Amino acid sequence: MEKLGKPGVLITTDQFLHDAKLAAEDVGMPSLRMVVLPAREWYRSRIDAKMSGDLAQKYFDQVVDALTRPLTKEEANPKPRTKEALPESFSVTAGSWDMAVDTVTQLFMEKRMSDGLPVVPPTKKAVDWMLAGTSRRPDEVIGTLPPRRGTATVKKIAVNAVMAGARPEYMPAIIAAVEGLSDPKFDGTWWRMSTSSSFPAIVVSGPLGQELKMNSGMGLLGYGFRANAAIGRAVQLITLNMGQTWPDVNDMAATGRLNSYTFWTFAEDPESPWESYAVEKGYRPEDSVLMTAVVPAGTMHLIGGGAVAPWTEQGILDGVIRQISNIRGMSAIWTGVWTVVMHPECARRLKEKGMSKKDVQKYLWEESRVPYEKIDKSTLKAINECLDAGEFMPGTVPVFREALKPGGKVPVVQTPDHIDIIVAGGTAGYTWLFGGPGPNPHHSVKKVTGATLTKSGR
Amino acid sequence: MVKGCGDDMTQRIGFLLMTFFLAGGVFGERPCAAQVTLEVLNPLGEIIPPPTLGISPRLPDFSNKTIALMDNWKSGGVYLQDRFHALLKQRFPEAKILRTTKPQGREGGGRLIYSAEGWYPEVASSADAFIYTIAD
Repeated sequence: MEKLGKPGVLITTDQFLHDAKLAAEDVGMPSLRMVVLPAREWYRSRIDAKMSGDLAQKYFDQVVDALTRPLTKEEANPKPRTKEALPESFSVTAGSWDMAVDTVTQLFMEKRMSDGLPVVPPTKKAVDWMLAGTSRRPDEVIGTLPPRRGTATVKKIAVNAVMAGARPEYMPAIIAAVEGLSDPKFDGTWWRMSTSSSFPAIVVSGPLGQELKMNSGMGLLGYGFRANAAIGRAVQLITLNMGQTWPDVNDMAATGRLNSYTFWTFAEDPESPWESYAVEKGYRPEDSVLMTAVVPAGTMHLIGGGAVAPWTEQGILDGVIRQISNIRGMSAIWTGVWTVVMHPECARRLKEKGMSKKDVQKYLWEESRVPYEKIDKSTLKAINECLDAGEFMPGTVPVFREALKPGGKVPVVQTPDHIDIIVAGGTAGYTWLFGGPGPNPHHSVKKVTGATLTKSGR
Repeated sequence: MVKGCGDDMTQRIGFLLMTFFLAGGVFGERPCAAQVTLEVLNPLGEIIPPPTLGISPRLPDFSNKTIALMDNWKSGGVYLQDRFHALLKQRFPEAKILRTTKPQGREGGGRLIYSAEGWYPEVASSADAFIYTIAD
């Protein structure tokens, strides 16, 4: 609005002031005027119209002042922000190798460049070793990451991969994950800065997962597998060091991000009875892809679990449908995007019944639709407004128009392929799903390229 | 076991005493015999700053001006705007008020990441100034 020539004022709280000022700087308008409410008062008051109103009244004069007080010279012509000169390297000296490693970890913590766990020192030799895993040029720019938009070059990715304890053969997968998270169509700002505890899932589909000995079975979200852990940790450090985030500064996850150190990083089951996720997305069977998706906090729903209770494939599908249909009620946003991680035994049984993966997606999409008569009038009005405003995917508009009539069934997911299916997990495991309403698209799919040490991903 | 520079002191005491006497005790504190220096690369990504812009000139007053009350749909923000609305009408009766909510979170709103992109130009074309409740 300010860039469009309109004077304004932002109402924020002291809890978010630092974050707001950094955001203003990041969009090139450091002098944006803000009226700052005390968070303690506001968070209590927002529940009630009168309490909020009283607070608004208290700050109204400041709001008027922010809109009418003439600009200072500094506000009208702020000093241009110059590019920060980053040191290429840091030197540490200690009495032994062990102490030097600890000193590096401590130094990186003080500079807010690490996650709290010890790091492998990214010496030039170690970084060169890491770069040997990719044929891509060290100075190639893969993308920038929010919120501060630091540039992720292949070399910077390698520095962080060394810190995370990765091996060179993991580099192409790490690069592909960064490509996914930095894609302008992928909303990285939301998961990286939001007060919710959302975080990314990183899924390897294709033969690379096996080559890297990634876990795709029992305990796939747990410990014990170096590639799962180090790829996830490298991506976490890269998002931290390119986005230049820090808790309570500009990463405002109130309780922290779940799985902060390694995110959810796992591989698709190579024995999936269906075509791989990579093939489903149009790649060749020998290709490998990285799927990155946002896991909104609290949306991991477990269904089935053969070691706990009997299950049927229909029961699993019914459970997924229940979650997809119900979750819409938790948000003001109508449609959702989901990832179903289906345990292999369930997938096999569905395949035996003659269902392809696409059939299952279509079935879930169809059965989760809500009868027109069950949607309240204000929601129907809002859905129609959004359709008119072009906020739904163009191809889905006729489907919604047709459904928004008496007797119609209104989809809660825009298209069947907004319900991704990944086959993974143990025989005794669960089918589970994550996702829900939120910025679209949730999913980013990038082909692994440039590998020098593995057969896949070259 | 992690060792610091002086951990072997007791084992080396004989050597140090001999050194002290030979050197006449004039060298003061000795550097550690096995210093390790590591040169580590910077993991931070370079930021290319956007062009820095000034904010827009303020309004001299609100006479016949349209003030947009914008909220990002987060809970309670609309309560603040309700009171701002009432106070503006009371104190600046000549001002016009435009109430608007960020489209992405509107009930029934779509899922397109850029669905709010058109909102700002739309509001800017109809308003002279704005009050935006972020509500965080």
